[in-house]
Amino acid sequence: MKGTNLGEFEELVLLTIAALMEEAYSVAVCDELTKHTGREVKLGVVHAVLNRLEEKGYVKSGLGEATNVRGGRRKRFYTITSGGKATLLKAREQRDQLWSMIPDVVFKGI
Amino acid sequence: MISKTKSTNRAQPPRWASRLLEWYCKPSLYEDLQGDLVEYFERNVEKKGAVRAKLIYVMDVLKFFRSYTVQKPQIFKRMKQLYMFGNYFKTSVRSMARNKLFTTINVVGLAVSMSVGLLLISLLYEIGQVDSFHTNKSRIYRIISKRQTSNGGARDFATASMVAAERVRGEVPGVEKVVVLNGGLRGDVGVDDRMVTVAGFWASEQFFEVFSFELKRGNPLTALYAPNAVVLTESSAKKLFGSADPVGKTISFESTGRSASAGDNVEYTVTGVMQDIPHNSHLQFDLLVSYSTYQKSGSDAVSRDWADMMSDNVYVLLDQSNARTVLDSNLERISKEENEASEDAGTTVTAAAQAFTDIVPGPALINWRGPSLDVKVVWILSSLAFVILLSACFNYTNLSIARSLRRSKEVGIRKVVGAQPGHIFSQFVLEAVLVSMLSLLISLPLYWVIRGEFLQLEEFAGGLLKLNISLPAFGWFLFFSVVVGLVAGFLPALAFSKMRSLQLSGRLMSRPVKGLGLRRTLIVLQYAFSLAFITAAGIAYKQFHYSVNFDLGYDTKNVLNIDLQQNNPEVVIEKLRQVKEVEDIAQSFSVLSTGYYWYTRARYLTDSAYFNFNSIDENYIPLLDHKLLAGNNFHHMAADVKSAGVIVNEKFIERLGIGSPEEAIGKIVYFNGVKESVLGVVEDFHYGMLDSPVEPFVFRYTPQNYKVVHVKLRDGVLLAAMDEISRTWNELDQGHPLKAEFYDQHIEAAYQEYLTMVKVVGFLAFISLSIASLGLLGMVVFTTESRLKEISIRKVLGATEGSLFYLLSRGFVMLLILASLLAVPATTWVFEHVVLSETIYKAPVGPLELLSGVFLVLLIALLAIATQTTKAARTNPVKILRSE
Repeated sequence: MKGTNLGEFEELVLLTIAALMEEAYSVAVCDELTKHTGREVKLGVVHAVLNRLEEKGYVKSGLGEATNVRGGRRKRFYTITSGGKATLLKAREQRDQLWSMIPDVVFKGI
Repeated sequence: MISKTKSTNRAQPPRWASRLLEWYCKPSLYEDLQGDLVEYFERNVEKKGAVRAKLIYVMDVLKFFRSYTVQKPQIFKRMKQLYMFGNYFKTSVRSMARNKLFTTINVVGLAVSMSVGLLLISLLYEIGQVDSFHTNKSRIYRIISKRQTSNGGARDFATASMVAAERVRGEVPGVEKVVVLNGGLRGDVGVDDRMVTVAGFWASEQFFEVFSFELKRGNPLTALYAPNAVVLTESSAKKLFGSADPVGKTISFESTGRSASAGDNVEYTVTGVMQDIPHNSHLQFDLLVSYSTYQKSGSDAVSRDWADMMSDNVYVLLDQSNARTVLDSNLERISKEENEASEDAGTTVTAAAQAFTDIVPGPALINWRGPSLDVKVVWILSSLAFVILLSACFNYTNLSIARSLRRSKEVGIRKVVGAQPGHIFSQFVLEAVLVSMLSLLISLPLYWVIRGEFLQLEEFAGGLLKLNISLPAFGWFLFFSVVVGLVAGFLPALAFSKMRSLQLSGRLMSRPVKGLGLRRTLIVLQYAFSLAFITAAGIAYKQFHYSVNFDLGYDTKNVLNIDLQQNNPEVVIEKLRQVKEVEDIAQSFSVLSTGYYWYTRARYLTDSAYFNFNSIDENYIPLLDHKLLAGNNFHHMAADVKSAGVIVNEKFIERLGIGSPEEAIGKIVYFNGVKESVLGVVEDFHYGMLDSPVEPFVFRYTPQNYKVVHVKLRDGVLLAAMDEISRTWNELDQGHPLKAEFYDQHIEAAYQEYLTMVKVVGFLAFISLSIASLGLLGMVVFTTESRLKEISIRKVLGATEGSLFYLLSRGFVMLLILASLLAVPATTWVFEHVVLSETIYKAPVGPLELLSGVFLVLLIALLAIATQTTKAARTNPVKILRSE
């Protein structure tokens, strides 16, 4: 998990942040992931991952405006950095390469 | 605003959980994390209900306690707080320096009351240390007795019957060892040409196995086994033998106090030398003699009578099995059995166990010669000191709250800049602790002064206490002063921390905030306590005066009592007769009406009981002017007379149902088996203290028992007579200094406890009145200052000085009157029903005692009020109003 490599869940979270664009804050990321993966995603896990991604420099965050919901607390919105984008692209490239190496025979008959 | 009110109607996440989160979470992560949790919470309330939502919220808060969310202990933050502490300190010192009068009132009041508090702390600390060196202290019990007579009199004795000792040893399971001590051993011990006056115990064999006194030489198991064995303490061994080893050497007693024949010429062998006794032991002695000596000596051997329980102290060592309840129930059973078997049906003796640690401080018991400390006294002193301390804290609270206006700007600015209520609270508590630390410094020398005075009062000292400042005691002092600061500062700090910053910074307040009712209550309480102390001192003094001047039924005027100190009475009397100021001389066994009681057993027909008695000679009754109702006085008889008859009082013949005084003459009564006929009947008189009723009493004529010579002196030549008598005595007996006291002084000494009470309570009254007056002065100064404008305007409009004085003083005077109405009846009631509840003869308390204190207090308070209000009323209004 250390270094520039992305873990599976980290990759998912990063992708979700990229997809949500301006609306990516922890609860929204959680909801989006739940919706798309079909598994229950805990806030605690997402929060830890978001924190780690920020440490690695893949995302940056800023506090939004205070609203009436959430007890008046501000949301922390995450946006993907160019480093993050590069890592995602790299990961995708690696997979594509691996995919391209698989002979058609393997998936025949599914 | 609307949404806010709406949200308060909805369920809220638990506040404590949010606080916990705020506490542990890094500030950078806190806000949005909390927001996320709240968002989930609101969702869960909709979906799952409020209860489950709250539960999930709490669980989430706990789950988020992770390495990356938790904030590191921040040294920087601490330093910032320390910096604020420095700032608090600075502003506190400045504010104290600005208000010199109030600071002085606070510091002096606290210091004076703290010195009393310090005395009490070291007192309690040392009391806790008494007898603590015994390793068996939790398993040792003393057997004590309650003696109840048919006419309702009940007395508690520190002693128990030998029967109790023997039956406990034999019958009660869980009893390991029993030690019997008899405290009557005193006399002169001679070795070669040295002569030392000593006091000690006859002690049974297992003494050193029960108590943790270390035997330096000799065998602890056998030292007190054989008859005529004696164990010396190191210092008495040194006095008698110098540096030589005393073990195996012999000593002889001039008198042991037990048998009347002075100098029984028995040699005692030293079998051991023990360490000196620590000052904090309730057992104090110079030497121990084996109990077997006592059992075999003298004509009347050790009594096997249940009712004879006035001489032996019985200590029981229980085994580990915590058999206290077993001991209690067995003692109850034994007492019941023995009382039923007793011949004297009217009198019952009930034995009970007293834990070793309850002896000092413990209940006041008769027939204990060693040091003691009444637990009641400790409680009374503690509560009085507490009250005084509280009073000084009230002053601080009062003045601080009253002056809150002056500090409000500071507090306001602090709040605007961002101080939390907690910060303000800690600032003002810190200020109070600072003041109390300052007071501690001043109170230490004060403590040293009152400590000296206190140790002079023999009621408390008794050698048990030294009241030195030891390290642990000093630790308690520091702790105590911090606590005092916290208590004093709590209410003001709370008041400041709750102020609204808007209210503080603006000019909204022209009057000090709230707390007027509280302040009034505190003033009333302070004065009520002071008045109570003064009234108590007055009543105690009245009772002392009443007791000392009570008509005892005989005449003690100009009677000098001289302790014979083992000298031959005939020689002493012979010499004293040559002193020309001496009118008459009589002899007796003990000085009556001074709190000592001696009992003898008497039987008339089939009725048998113990009676108080005194042995006297033929001159005693005329010298002390007892009134003979019937029969005759004793005649002079030879020193070895066995049965010279008895003279009894009215209660005696009433008790035995003999009839009229005339009928009683010639009746035969047996005393300890000796047949005596009633020679005469005297009028009832008070031979005891005034806390007990007059009971049956017997005068006997037993010349070998005389211990005291009563000398009646001619009027007006007392000083010359004393000189002459002491010169005569010094010729007679070089070894002992003259021990002589006038009868009246003897009686005064017996009622010393009232005088001690007057001294202690009077001192406390003085302190508490000073503190209360200081507080009142502070309040008056403050109110008049803050009403100066009002006064000036009134004056411009035509108010006279008198009416202004009335206006300013009225409120305070009303408070004082209220305080007196509370205090005086309460104190009178306490004295009537608690302090003197067991005293039969009480001094009537008149309006003089009750009201003189009130007048004194009112006078002092009015003086304080008057000086300030007249000053305010006389100021030129122009000076005040010009600046408006």
